[in-house]
Amino acid sequence: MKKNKNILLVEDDPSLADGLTINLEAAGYNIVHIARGTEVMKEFANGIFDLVLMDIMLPEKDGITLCKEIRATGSTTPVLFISARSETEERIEAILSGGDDFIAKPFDVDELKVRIHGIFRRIAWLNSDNTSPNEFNFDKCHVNFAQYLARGPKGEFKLTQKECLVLKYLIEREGKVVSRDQLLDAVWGYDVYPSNRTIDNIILKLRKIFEPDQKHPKYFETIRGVGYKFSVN
Amino acid sequence: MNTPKLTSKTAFAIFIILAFLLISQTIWWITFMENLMEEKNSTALELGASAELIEEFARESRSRHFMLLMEGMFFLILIILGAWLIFNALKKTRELNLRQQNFILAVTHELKTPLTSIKLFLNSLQSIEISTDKKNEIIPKIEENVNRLQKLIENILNIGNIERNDFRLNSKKLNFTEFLNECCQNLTSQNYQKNLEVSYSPGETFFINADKQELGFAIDAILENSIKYNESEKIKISLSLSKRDNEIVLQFKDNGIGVLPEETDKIFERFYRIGSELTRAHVGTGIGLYLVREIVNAHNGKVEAFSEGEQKGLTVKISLPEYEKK
Repeated sequence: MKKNKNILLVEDDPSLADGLTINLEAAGYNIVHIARGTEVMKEFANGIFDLVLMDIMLPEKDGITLCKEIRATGSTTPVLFISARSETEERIEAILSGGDDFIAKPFDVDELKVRIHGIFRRIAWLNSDNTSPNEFNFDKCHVNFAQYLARGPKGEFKLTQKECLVLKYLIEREGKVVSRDQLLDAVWGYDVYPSNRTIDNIILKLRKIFEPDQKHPKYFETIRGVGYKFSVN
Repeated sequence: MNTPKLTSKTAFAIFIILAFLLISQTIWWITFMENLMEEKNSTALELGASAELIEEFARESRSRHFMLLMEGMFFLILIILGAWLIFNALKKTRELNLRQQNFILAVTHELKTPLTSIKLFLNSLQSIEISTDKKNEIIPKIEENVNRLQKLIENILNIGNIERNDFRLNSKKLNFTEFLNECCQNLTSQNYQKNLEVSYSPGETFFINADKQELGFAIDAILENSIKYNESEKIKISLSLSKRDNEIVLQFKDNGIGVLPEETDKIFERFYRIGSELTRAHVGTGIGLYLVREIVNAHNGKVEAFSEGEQKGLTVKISLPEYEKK
């Protein structure tokens, strides 16, 4: 029997929390609701959650700070932000804090469900054994997608979920040029695009891990005006 | 929001340049005068001037030094005063900008959150098979959110009227004692989640000349504020009505979170809210008490707040002129 996914809902408005709980429970998710930002870390440590659905404006501690705290524990549990603000700056801030997606109020419940489904689909793809193995070796480098670990000439590094997804996408298309838009679409999805700068930062980190000489990248090549190409030879 | 920051930097730079110029010029003048006097003294000595004349030159030199120093001090004080005034003006502008930014944030949040709730509840009523009991729970929640939106829109419209000086009262003779009793009964009949105790014992009958709707709005806003900013297990609000000279004084006293004594005047300022909007513990926009002040002022009254400090409750006092037969 398929197990229902557990969602930690962090929302201070009781009406909105009720509305979300009714609709998401009807969609087959288990919801644990907390209203105060200060309770998140305690609840997060006590339970096993597949997703954190969190408002940015929260009493005492805001969602962005909480997401950073969650990521600081080493957790890769996806975080989907809800916010009344929808400016690009806030979306970028949310994604840079370690968030996976962002939905602006007022939203349709169908859109929310599609976004949640999208996050779970991307995680399933990241952890899939069918399409590509969970581990990848090239030259003296090693990647474990299941454990979010990467080993290069400078040692072992922990990857974030997004870094893992970008790496996996490039590896699966070895030798082919991948545009930034393709990466944004595959890794972030929909219209939550953080900015090309975020992709560039991730590539910089991957080069730092794997490239013997970052100034003359051997594996992660920049294709000017288009995107990136991963190749081993 | 960068403009005031930039302006204050520019003002600071101008102040530093002016102060530097003034001090340099004063030093230059003093040195120049010193040299000139020395030259004069030596020429006088060479020409065999009398001791009295040399003493006279020295007195003149001291007097000029003093005059230059005083002039320099005077302009320096003027510059410091100007800089202080500019700094204060910029500080106020920055505070207002920050409050406006917070207000926009709060209004955005306060408009979009109930709207999202309504959409979610409607979706659950339309698309999900739910029990009649659950439906009966959802419908009042939709109503509650619609009322929340309506109140916010009314507040914003009222602010607009005040800003355009288009705020008119429809004042009539009002039995204040009875009206206050009605307001309290309305409040206790509303479905508040928190445990609420409103105490008001109508005593002597007082009449005022007031716009019932606007005054009712102001009283509701104060009562709601007492409920909203309250973290006690049992919310207690006591109201009293008394007469002082020709004024009727309405006093609200709650056991809420209170404010710092120095902040009591600020709570009636437009867009005033405590803390950052991102981590706000209490919903609101910072216009409720501003509207209270404007409504009371329009009635030729006065509103004041008193608090002994945080977590020590808040007392709000409204003084309104007693009704006079014309």
